[in-house]
Amino acid sequence: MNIHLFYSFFKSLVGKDVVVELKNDLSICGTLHSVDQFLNIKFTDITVTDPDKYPHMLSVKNCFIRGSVVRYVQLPADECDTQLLQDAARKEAAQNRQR
Amino acid sequence: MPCVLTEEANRKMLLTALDVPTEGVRHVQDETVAYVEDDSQGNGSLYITDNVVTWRNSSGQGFSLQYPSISLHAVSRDLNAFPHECLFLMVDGKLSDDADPRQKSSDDEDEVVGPFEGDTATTEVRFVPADKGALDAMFNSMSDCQALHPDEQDTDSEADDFEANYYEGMEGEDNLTPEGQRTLEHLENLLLNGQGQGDGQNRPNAGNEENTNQMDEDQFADADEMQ
Repeated sequence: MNIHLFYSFFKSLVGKDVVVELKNDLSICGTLHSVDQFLNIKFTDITVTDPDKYPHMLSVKNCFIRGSVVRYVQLPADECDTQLLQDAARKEAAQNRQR
Repeated sequence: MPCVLTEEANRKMLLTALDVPTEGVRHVQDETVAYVEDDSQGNGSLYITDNVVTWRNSSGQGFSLQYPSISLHAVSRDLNAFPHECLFLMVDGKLSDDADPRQKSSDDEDEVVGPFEGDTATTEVRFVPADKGALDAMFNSMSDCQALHPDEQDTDSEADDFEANYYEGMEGEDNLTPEGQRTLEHLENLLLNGQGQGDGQNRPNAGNEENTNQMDEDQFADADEMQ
C-alpha cells in the first residue's frame, strides 16, 4: 500500500482523536495535531491506555511519535469512509501497476 | 553474570568520552540534567544536532542517541509523574552495553534491529534544563531532526517520486478539521484524474502537472510503446 495514501488520509484526520498502538504494545490516545510524509505523528492532550505499564507517560501533554514505531492507528469509525478509502486504494494500486 | 551494580558504577558504564558536536547543531541547552531510567547522570549540556542527540557533562563524558532509536519524545510538565519539567524520550534499546539482569534482550545492539523488534528493551530518558522555558524549543528542534531520519525499510520506492512533488514537512499545524472533507475530496480527485484540485496547502502546480503528465502518458500508452 502506498504510504502516500495514508499520509493524505491522516492529514484529513487532524483535530480528531485517534489511538496509536506502538510496536512495543504501548497504546496512546490523543488528538492528532499533525502528521508528515513519513507518518511521524504529533499529538496533543494524550492519555495512555495502559498507565500501569507506562506510568510516566501520564504527565505528557504533547508528543512526537516516530512513524516507524507505529503498529496500528485506530480511527474513529464515524470519520472513516471505508468505501472511499477502498476506492482510492484500488485506483492507486492500479496506477502503480501501470508505471 | 555481573553482580548488581551500584548506581555510580552503572553511570560510569553508561557514559563515554564524547566530543562536543560541531556539525548540524540545531539547539544547545546548557545546565541540563540527564536522567536515564530515573538515575541522574548529573549536570551537563544537551546538543540536538541533525545527526544525533548528544548529552555531555563538563568532564567530557556523555552519551549519544540515534534518531531511529528515539521512538517518542515529548514535553512533560506534570510534576506528579516526575518531579521536574523535562524533555521526555522513549528510546528503543538500552544505552549501556552491559545487559541489565532484569532485561531479556537477545541482542546487545539495537541498531541493526528495527524499532521494538525482538526483545529489545525500552529506556526512558529525560533532559531537565535549568531554563524550563526552553523545553518547547528543545521539543521542536528534536522533532525537526527526527524528520531527517526516516526508516529505510518504510520507504516505498514507487512512492518516492510521487511524494517528493506533493508534500514536505509537517502538515496540520493549523487545525485542519474544517478542511478534512476537502482533503479527502482532493485525494479522490487525485486518484481519479491524476491531478489534485488544490486546497492551498499543496506544493505549486508545477509539481502536480509534472506527475499528471507522466501518469496520463502511461495510462494511455500502448503496451508496446511503454519503456
